[in-house]
Amino acid sequence: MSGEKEFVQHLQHLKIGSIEDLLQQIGEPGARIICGGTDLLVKMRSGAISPERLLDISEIDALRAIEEKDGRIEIGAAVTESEILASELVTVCLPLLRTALVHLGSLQIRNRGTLGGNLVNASPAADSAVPLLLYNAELILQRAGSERSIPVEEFFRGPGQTALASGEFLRTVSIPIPREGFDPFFHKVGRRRALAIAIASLGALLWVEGGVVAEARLAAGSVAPTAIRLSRTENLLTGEKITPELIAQARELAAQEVSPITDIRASAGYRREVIGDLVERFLNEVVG
Amino acid sequence: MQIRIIVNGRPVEREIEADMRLLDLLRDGLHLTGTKEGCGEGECGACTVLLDGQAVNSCLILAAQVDGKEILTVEGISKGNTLHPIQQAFVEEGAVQCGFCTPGFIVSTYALLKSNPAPSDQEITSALTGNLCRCTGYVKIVDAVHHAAKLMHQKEGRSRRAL
Amino acid sequence: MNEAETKHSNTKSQDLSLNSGMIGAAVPRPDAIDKVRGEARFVDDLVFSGMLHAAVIWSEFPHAKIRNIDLTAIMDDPRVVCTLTSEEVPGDNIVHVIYDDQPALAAGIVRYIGEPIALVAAEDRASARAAATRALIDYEEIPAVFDPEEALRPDAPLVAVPAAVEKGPNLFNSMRIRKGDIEQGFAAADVVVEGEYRFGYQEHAYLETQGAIAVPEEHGAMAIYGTMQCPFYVRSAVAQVLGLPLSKVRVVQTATGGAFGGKEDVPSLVSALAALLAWKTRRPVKLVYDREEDILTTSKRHPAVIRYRSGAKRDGRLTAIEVDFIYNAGAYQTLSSAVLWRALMSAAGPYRIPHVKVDGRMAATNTVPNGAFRGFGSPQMNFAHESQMDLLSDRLQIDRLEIRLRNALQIGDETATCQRLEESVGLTETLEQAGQTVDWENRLRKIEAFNADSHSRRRGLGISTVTYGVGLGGKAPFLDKAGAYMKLEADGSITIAVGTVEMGQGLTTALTQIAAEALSLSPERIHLAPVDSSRVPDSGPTVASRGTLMSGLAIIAAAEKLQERVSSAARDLDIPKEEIPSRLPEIARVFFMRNIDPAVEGWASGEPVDWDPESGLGNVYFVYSYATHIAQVEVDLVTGEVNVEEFVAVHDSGKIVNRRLAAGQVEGGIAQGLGYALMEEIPRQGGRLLTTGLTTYRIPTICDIPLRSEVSFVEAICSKGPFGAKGLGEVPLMAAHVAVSRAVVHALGRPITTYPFSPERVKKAVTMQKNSE
Repeated sequence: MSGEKEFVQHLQHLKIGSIEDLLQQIGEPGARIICGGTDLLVKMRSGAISPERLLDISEIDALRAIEEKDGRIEIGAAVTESEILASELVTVCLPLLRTALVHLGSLQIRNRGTLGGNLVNASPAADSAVPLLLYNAELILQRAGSERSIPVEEFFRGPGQTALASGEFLRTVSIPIPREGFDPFFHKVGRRRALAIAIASLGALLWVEGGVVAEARLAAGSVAPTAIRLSRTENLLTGEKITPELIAQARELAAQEVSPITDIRASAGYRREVIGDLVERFLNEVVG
Repeated sequence: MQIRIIVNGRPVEREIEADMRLLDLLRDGLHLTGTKEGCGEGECGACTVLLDGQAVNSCLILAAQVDGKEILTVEGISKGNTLHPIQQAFVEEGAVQCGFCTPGFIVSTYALLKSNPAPSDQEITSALTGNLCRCTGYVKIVDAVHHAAKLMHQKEGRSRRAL
Repeated sequence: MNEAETKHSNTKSQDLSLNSGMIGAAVPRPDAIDKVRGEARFVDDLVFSGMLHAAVIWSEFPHAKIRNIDLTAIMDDPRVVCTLTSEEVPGDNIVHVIYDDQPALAAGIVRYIGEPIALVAAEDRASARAAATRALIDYEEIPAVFDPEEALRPDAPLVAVPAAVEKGPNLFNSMRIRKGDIEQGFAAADVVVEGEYRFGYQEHAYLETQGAIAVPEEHGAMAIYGTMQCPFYVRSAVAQVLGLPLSKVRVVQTATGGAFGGKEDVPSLVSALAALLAWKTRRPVKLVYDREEDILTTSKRHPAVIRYRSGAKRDGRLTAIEVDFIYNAGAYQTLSSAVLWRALMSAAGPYRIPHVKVDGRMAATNTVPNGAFRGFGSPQMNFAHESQMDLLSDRLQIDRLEIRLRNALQIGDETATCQRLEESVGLTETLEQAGQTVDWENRLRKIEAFNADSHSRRRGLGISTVTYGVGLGGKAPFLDKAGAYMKLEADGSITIAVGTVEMGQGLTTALTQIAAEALSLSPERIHLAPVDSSRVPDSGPTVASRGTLMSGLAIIAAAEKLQERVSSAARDLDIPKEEIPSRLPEIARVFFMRNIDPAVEGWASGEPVDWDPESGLGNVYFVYSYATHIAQVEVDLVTGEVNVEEFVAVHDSGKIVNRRLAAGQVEGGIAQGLGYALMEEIPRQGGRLLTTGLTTYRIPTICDIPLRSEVSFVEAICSKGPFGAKGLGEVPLMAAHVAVSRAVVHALGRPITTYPFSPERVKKAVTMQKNSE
């Protein structure tokens, strides 16, 4: 209604052929990268953003590969979610990423939407964020003359805010293949069973060795300004034997550790409680 | 800007504005009004078309993005006056009520059955999650997809025997 | 999934279907072919030469005086053709529905966010919409009220025009039922249970948004093409704003992409707005709402609060109910008084109750006007009366199915309005058949066993049973009529025109079958023309599950007349009676050559009904439909998420004209009901609705519905319906949402009384239950 803005007159759409071309164009005023467009077009239509030049990176081959390199899986920023789901490498090595993406939007969205787009959009509810946090993914950011690699945790700065500097773009998501022997967990709470934006989500990887927790990784979505790791709860669990008392403590701590808001989908109180209870469910499953 | 695409098997060349959605190009530019706008935000799937064989929401794609690519709309599913088996199945199973979502379902089903000729219930529901229907309650749509799979299998069998 | 099963009930009434097998057959829809090919033309698919596009400037405040409207910046764009405000309306600035309180364009004051203030016409849609954002409206905000209970307090700001609230401040209407002696009824009760039930909005979310094209025609006439349920409502509204006689407005219904009541009153406004611009520009004008406009500015199911007391004997027999309820009408009357009346008529449920006291009020607030939505005020009441039955069942330790059977209305019983039921009451059969289908007692035992074993998930089984008075009933009997025009063409084909519409429910198919049966012809010979108000007399609205019933009766009346003429021509030609259908082309040729009138009209008028507003009693509907639904759910106690696993639906809608279509209506109602019970919600902040699209207003997807559902029919034949049919359309939703929500309550063992049963509300109930243990 009142928020509706006309699309920018004389908007330009440029198909970018290579990373070199992209680096030349990316600094221009009003330029914005487009790939699948599934988030960008919604924002343009609502008037939330009004770019003047769209740099279409969907056909840059260097951004479209999934490769295994030195014990890591590297996924180009322009790889679509459907392509990730179809990847044997991902299915075998990164099952939680697959689980999370199966729940992302619809087939039509996954056929267009990209991993890079989902991350750069930086929604607290981004479906790919929780598994990437669990896998300790690194993001390779590139700008003219330099590139850097940062942990995915440091990439998110707030709702819609990322660590990308001006003139910089997300090139690759690099994920170390976790060592075997973990218990995985992923649950996305939604009001319906598909096409849902997460009210809250919890993912976990837990290594139990010799009866004690060797390593715990817990991550949650939609319960803080960005998707987050629950590091205090992880510390509590590490080195301990999983007992009912420990589970109760972990539940409490996880609920404290998140900082949710109340919005049209659910209240802060519910989100806090459900994260704690999901941690409890997961640990109960681990001990059987 | 100038784009060249193939729509339902025919080459199309058009001068377009960069902000034009694929949906608007199809409906207003090419008069292919079978593709519908239900929400404008990629939620309902009424605007589903195939882009190089993959189901996509044409409301979330700029026409400029599909330059050089191939589009299939509901109008391109059947050959002449004969219904495609998917369309026939939707009619026979009662999977059509108001019909506004139907073209999107037909196109999504087409994409599904091409890659998976005998899908399970779960594979059907997973492929059709992005198509909302408010009339049928979906039950007869699932029936129709199973029925279409059978019809297509029979048809294929017949044409193979004919060879 | 089973094809719907049909069982004949042994209710005492005669089977009127004579028949050549057409009634009850699963004839495929004639309109489905166009729809699967993408060739059905919905309103936004139509283009007229020289057509302009309209955009609306909507109120951004819930209650404000308009100090000034500055539209000068709008005209900056050469593609903009004109603007229009209330001062230029040539006729009355009124959109008539029941009362004359709603303006087409706000004049001096706005009463809700999303009220139309001014219009723009431009050469293309984008320019019109962009131009509308440049309007400068100078508002002076005035105190507003949004909550219906607050609105009825004496100190509340006044919302509505005085003429619309004659019964009291912000009180659009109040109605009541007084049957028996309520004190005596509760004195006779062994137990009394009480509940308070609250509901938010439900949005229709038809896939096709509202839209209309107004096309100026010769001699100052105006044609409207649009998506709608009620062409004759639209015609009156357009005639009134343009100051034209009814004869100069022609309304054509285009393929309609779902309606569910949402296209009962709203198209009158949409069409009036398009017509105003077409009148001013003398060019065709298209106005199609986008999804955000549709959700924010059009009618919805009424938010409500219902307080309910029920008394019963130890054996479960109801002695009395006392019900008090308030519905939130929004800022204008629209259909709210009619909704209030049906809510009143539904308050008692399908039960035999000697003492009844019901009071209903419809409050005006500064929110979007609410209107018709499948069930029309009943669904809220259905949850209330079924929750009360479950409370009684708990208290008295009588099984939930059993207590319903003990109170179920039967032939010879009196309803809550003292109407004696003379025929066609299949309620008990629906209960029994639903119970048998799920194997009720065994199923309950299995669920108990599952729950005893499960730590964090619980199953539940919900049952609901409802009744629905078919047609418009005793409040507006003058609307219950329908005409049909039937023509034998020179080649022996038949053209039929009716005034009720196809909106996805299958009316065209059902009416074609009825015509085929009445004329003993195959349905391929019969064509139902698109609905055009100039072809048939005012046939009332396509609402209240009355389409098949009323237009079906009109078609049968027309067919009888045509048959007479055909038979007489056949006699002249020595064609034996049984050969008439196959030799109809020959006969038609004779009609043509000998100048025999080939056209007939049929007319149906509703059966007599009455209602006394003082006592609230009367023979309010001439027939009732019934249904029982049972749902099984699994609740995740950790997250509060609910999965509907299985569904059984048994309906008595009299004779079923087309089983496949009828089953489709039921399945669709189940999905809509499931959405209402579990997920559909519009949070409101003051006068602002917070869901603006289908991303935030969630309706069920294909993954949310149980594929294991069983739909069946018991057919308690109705002597007054076409071939014994009653109405079906609304009943499935009414029963379905309650079966789902009551199943959740059963699973938790703790009541939830506020809709929808979101994960958060369910989780809260789980926590409270834990704390109380």
